[in-house]
Amino acid sequence: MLTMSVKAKSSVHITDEENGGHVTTEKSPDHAYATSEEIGEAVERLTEAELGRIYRAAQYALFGTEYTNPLELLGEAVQRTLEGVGVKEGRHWPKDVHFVAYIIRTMQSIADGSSNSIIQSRTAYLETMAGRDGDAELALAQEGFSSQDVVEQALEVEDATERQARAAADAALIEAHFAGDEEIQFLIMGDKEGMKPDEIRAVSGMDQTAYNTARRRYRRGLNTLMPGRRKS
Amino acid sequence: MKQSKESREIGFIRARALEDLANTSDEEIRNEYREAGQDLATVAKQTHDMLRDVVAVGMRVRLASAKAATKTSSASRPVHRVRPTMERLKGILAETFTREPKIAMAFRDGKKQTDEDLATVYDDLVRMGIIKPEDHGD
Repeated sequence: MLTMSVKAKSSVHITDEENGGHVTTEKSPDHAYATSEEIGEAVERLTEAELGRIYRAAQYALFGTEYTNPLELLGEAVQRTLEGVGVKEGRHWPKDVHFVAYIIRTMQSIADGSSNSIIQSRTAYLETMAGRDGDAELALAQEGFSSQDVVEQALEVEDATERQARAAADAALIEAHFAGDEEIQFLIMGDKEGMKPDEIRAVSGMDQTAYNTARRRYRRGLNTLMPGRRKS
Repeated sequence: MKQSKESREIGFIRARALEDLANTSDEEIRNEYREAGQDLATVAKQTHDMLRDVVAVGMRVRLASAKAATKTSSASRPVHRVRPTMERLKGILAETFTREPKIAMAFRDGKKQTDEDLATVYDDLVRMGIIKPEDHGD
C-alpha cells in the first residue's frame, strides 16, 4: 500500500496546480530531484501491479477534467515531470518519494488544476477591486486592460464555464450511477462537502465496517464508470 | 485561488477515491481487475508502452536541445574528425547503447536507420561527450 508515501512524502514536496504546479522543497534540485534517465529507469522498473494501480488512479483523477482518457492524463504527468528536469519551473520528482506515489499525486494535482481556471481567481480579484458598486469595465481599465484583454478574458471565462459544467456533469454522472445505493449516496454527498469519514458515518449511521465496505463498493463502481470520453 | 463549487466537489470526489486506492493492497487491485473482467496484464502493458513512449519522446527532445546547444557552442571551433569505418561505427554505437540504454531508447522511433542516420547519431553522441573516440582508439 502507498498510504504513507502518498500522504507523508509527496504532499510535503508538491504544491497544487493552482499554485503554479511547482514542487516546493528546500533541498538542492541537483541531487534531490530525478534526472530524465532516472525517470526512465523508474518507468522501466514499474511492476504489473503498480501499473494497474497507476491506471486506476488515472481513471479516478480523470473526473471533471478535459482529458479524454486515463492514459492521456498519465502521459501529461510524466511529460511535465520530464520537462521539469534541470529547470527551476515545472514539476520535479523528489527521489525520496516513491515514483508511483509521486505520479499519482501529480495526476491529481494536474486534474485539480484542470478543474479550475486561472481566470476564475482573476475575475474574483477584479470583482473585489470593483467593489459592490463598481463595474467590471472600470476595474479592467484601472488594471490597464485593453479591449482585446476583455475579449480574451471573456473567452477564458467561457472556458471556465465549460470546466464548471464538466465538473458538474461528472458529479451528476457519478450520482446517477449510484442512485440506487443509499450508503454510497451518503458517501458522495459527504465527499462533495469535504466531510471527514467520521462525519459521514455520523450522518449516515454507518458503522466503520459498513462504511469501509460501502467505500470499497463505491470505488469499484467508479472503475467501470469512466473508461474515457470523446473530445468535445 | 477561488474554486467553483463544482470544481471543489469533483476535487473532493477524486481525492477520496485516490485515498481509498492508496489503502488498497496490490492483491485487492488484482482481484478488482479480475472481478471487473479486465485483464490486468493487458492494461499494464498498454500503460507501460505509453509511459515508455512519453519517456522516449522526452529524451529525444532533450537530446535535440543538447545537440542545438552543442552546435551553437562549437560553431566557433569546428572539430575535424575522421569517422571510423561504418562497421566500426556500428560496433561503437551498439556498445554505447548497451552501456546507455536510455540513449538507445531516445533514438528508438520504430524506423530502420540508414548508415547516414547512424553516422549522424555517432557525430551527435561524440559532440555530447557520450562517445569518446579516443576510448575506441579512433
